[in-house]
Amino acid sequence: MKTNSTIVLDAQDISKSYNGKKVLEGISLQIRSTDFYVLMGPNGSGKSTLLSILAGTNSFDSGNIKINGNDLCKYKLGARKHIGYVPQENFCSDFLTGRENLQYFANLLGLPKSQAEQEIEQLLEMMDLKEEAGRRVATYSGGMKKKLEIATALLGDARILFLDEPTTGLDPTVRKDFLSVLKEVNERGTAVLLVTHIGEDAEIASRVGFMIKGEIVAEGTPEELKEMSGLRSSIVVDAAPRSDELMMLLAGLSGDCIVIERESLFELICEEPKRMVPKIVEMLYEAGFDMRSVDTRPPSLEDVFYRLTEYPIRGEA
Amino acid sequence: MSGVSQVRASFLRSMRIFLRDKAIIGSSVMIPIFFLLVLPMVLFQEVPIEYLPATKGFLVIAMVTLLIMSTAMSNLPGSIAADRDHDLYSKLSSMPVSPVYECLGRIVTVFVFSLLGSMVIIALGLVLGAELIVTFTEFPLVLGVTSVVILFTAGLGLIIASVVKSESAAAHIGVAIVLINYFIGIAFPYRDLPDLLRPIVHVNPVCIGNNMVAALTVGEEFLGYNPFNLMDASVMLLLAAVIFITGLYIYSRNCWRR
Repeated sequence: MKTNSTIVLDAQDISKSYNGKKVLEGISLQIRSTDFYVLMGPNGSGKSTLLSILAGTNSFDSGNIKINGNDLCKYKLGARKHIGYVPQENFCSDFLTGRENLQYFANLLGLPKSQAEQEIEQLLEMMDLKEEAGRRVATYSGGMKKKLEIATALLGDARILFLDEPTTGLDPTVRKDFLSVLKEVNERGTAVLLVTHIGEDAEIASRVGFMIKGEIVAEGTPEELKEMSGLRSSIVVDAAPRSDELMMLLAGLSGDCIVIERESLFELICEEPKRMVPKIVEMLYEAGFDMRSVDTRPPSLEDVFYRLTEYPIRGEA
Repeated sequence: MSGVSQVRASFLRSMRIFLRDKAIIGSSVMIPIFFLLVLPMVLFQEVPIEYLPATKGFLVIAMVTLLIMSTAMSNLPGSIAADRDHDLYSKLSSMPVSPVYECLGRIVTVFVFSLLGSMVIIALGLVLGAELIVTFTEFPLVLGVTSVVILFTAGLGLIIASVVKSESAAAHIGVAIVLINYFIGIAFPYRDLPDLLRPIVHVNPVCIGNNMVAALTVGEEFLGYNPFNLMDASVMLLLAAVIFITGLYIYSRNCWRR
């Protein structure tokens, strides 16, 4: 990782309203070239709006944005050549091959032919798409399409990547692979700003921001945020039969626990999880539940988000 | 950034899509070819044999106009709407790219695709016995008039693409406008049109352009009037310019909203 980092994004006091309703309120954000910044927030928190404003695709009411020292409003071309934006939808044409899509964006940027060819080959190599580069994008998997889109965003002189919920719809293995590619991009000197509502995506970040109702309410490294939340570990309970009675029992535990119902189990966020585990086991045994497992796990950033903001990350803001 | 490279990039991308998308080839080229093969068998049975080459020549010109309209007013807006659905314009507006140059690349595609399709239709028409006579000096005029028709229809296509968001709706609205235009002043020579439809021909640049090319290649007598008059030419040029500039402006604002 480079040690001499420079500020590639400097946003000051950004505000925006839609139909008289404030969606962003005085947001300031600085990102350095070495940063892997993840902005977490539930649907409707304004994170995608903020990203589109920072990437120059959306207008804003007040504030100032500089990309690599160029004012986004005054020096549009100078600022935009340093932006690599990957919106949520798959924007590469299905009728073109992976290489042809890259050539299209390289030509739009006006890259000289030899430079374009060299960059395209390097990016295909980096994204592990070299063998598939001659195939039409229609035949690509979701993960391959996303990698191709990152490659298009890295063409030319992009200093910062803006990614809007890039892992949505990807299965866990592909998501992990995709995030490791992003990490590699970051380690080569391109800053990354990723918005997501998936906590696991934020675990590899160097900085994380929590966004609620158009404001960044907490910010720090994942470790700092976990420390700030006071959470140690959560308790995962897998018991049968799953019923309202079980939920009520867990919710009624003393010890200031928050109970979250997951797909196949219950998760409890407590101040002192290790002390609570024997209590839970005893209580469920006495109530006659079939205990499959009661375990502790380290706090995730989703838990931390919930604790610090009191908003479930996968709900509405 | 060079404007030429942006136009070229946009052209190469759209051209590849137009040539690879079977729906575009089918609706723009195959339907006129089908009509060219079938209509003479159905409609021209009672045409005196000495008029048959000119009648077929008129049909070829009508099919070329149909091809241009389908490409510019249905396939162009359909492809723009598809790109908007896939967030391409969000991506493009984050880049140092001019909406005008990007759009010009798409318009060049309409020109080149129409030219290629027209060559196929004209070649087939000639094989089937159509007679098209163009002098060396008239040929640039044919190309010029055709270009004006393309600009007008592409302008309409851009307006459709800018106001209709769904891909299928944009393409279908385009098809509807193509069919209306075709039957009110392109499918039949001016002399065969009912009095009710004749005034429309004089205010519709597609009909005027089609008639001008038909007059140059098939003959004014066959058409039944001389479209090269000051009023028709002025209306065609003025409306084509207004609609094309309006289309370009609305496209730049609506599709590239920043």
